[in-house]
Amino acid sequence: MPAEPPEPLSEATVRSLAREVVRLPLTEAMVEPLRSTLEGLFKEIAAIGDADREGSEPLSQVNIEEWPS
Amino acid sequence: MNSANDLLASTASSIAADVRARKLSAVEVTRGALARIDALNPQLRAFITVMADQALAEAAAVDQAVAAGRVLPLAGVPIAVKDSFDVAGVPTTAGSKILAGSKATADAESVKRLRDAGCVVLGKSSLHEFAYGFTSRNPHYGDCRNPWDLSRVPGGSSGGNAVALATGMALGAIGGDTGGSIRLPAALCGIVGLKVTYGRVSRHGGVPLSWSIDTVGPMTRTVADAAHLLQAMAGHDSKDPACSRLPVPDYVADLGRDLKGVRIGIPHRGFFEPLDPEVGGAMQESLEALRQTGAQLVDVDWPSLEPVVGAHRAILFAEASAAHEPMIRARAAELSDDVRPLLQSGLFLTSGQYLAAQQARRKIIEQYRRLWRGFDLLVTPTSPIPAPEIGTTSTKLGDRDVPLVRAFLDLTLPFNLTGQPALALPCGFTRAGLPVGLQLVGRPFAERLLLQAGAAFEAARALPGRVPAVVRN
Repeated sequence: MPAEPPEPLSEATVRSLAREVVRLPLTEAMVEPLRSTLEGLFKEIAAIGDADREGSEPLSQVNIEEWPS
Repeated sequence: MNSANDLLASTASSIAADVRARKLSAVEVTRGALARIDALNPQLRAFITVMADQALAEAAAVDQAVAAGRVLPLAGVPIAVKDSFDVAGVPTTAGSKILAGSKATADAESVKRLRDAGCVVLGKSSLHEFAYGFTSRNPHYGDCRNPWDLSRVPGGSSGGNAVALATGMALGAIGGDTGGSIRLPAALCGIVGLKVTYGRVSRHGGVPLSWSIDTVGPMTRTVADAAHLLQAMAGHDSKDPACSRLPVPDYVADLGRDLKGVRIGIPHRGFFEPLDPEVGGAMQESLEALRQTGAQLVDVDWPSLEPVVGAHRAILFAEASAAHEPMIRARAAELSDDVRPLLQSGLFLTSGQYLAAQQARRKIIEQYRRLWRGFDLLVTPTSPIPAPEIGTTSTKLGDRDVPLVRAFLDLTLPFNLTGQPALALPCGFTRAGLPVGLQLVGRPFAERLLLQAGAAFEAARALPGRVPAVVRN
C-alpha cells in the first residue's frame, strides 16, 4: 500500500487495498467504518513525522530501564 | 472490627488483618461480597462470570490455612479479575463471544500470586471487547454502567473492576493498562488504579492487546491497598519475556511518610489546558493538598503530545491486529461494531510505519528522561472530563469539540509509550456527584515513591467517604 494514502480516503480505495494488498474479506457494511477508522489513524500516525527520529534504533520490547534521580 | 456485610467500610489490608487474627472468616467476607454482587450485578454488569461456589471453597481453604498457622498477607481479600486474564477452570472471554467457549487450564501469573497471598477470586469482570476501547460498552455481555450515575460509562477497558470496587463487590482487582485502561475507569468511578512500569508485573496468562506496551496492575479502594497487592504481584517471571529481573522493593515501608524534598512537576500545556471547569477546580484544590504534604511544585514546559499519540496508535494498532490476525480474517462478523474496524485497520499499516513509531518511541523516552531531571513525579488530571453519558462520542473542551478517544487517552497513553508507572486516584467530586481523578507519574520502577506520594496526597486531600446511590437504595 502507499505510505501516504490519498486524502480523503475513499471507500473504493479501501475496498481495493483490502482485496489486492491486505487480502481481507469485507462485507459492504464493514467498508465505511473501516474507511473512517483508517482515515483517522493515518492522520494521527502522520504526526510521528514531527518527532526527531534521527539515529534512533527501534525500541525492542524488553529494555525499559531505571532512570537516575 | 470490619463487617463482612459491608466491604465499602473496609480496606483490603484491614480485612486481611482481621482474617489473619481470626476475628473474621474469609468465608464470611466472601459471602458478603457475593451478596453485593447478587444485588447489583444485574444492573451494573461488573462481572461476566461469577464464581460463587469456587470462591466459597477457596475462602474455606484460606480459613483452614490461617488456622494452621500459615501467614497470608492478603488473607481473605475478595478480588475481581479482568476477564482477559486466565483463572483456571473458567472461560477467558476477553469480553468477546468468540472466546466464550474457552476454558483456562491454569491461572495467569498475577492471579496465582494473589491467590498464593490469600486472595479469593470472586469472578471475571467486564471489559471492552478485547480490551480495545475506553467505555466498557459491550454488546455481547451488556454495557457496564457507572455506579455514580447509571446513564454514564464507567470508563474502560477495565470498567468492571472499577465498578466492583466502587460498590463494595470486591476489595481488590487485577486490571490491564495499554493506553489508560486501569487509570481511566479508576478516575471515572472514584477508585485507585496503578499502571505499573512495563515489565514490573508478569503478563503471562493474559490475552494480549499490544505486546510492547501491555501492563498488568492492581486496582483498589485505597493507595495502601494498591501497595499491598503490588507487593504480591510484582517480580520476575520467566514465562513473560518482558518481565524485569530488578529486585522488588518494599512498597509499604514508605506509606505515611511526607513528601519533603520531593519535586512534583506540573505540565500545564497539553495536560491542564483545557479541562472541564469542575475537573479544573478539583485539580487546583489537589495541587494545594500536594503542597501540604511538603512537596515542592514546579511548573514544567511540556512538549507536544501529537507525536506521542501517533507513535502509540501505530504500535497499538499494528500489534493488536498481529496478535488477533487469524480471528480478524475468519470471524470479523462476530466482533462488536466499534472494535471490528480497529482490529481490521491495523492490518493496513506497513512495517515502515510501525518501525518509525518504535524509533520515535525511543526518542520520546529520551526526551521524557531529560525532562524528569527537573522533578521526581509529574501530576496531571487522569481525565479532563468526568464520566460522560453512554453513547457520547465527543466532548467540548474549551471551544473545541474533541473526540472522546483523544479526551480520554491523551493524558494517560504517553506513559504507556514510555513504560513509566502512573497512579490514578480520586481527587474530588463534581456538583452532580461524579468522581474526578488525579494522576501521578514516576520514573521507571519508581512505584515505591509513587505509592508514598499517593498515600500522602490521599491523607492531605481527605475526601469525605461517599457511597454511590445505587448501593444505598
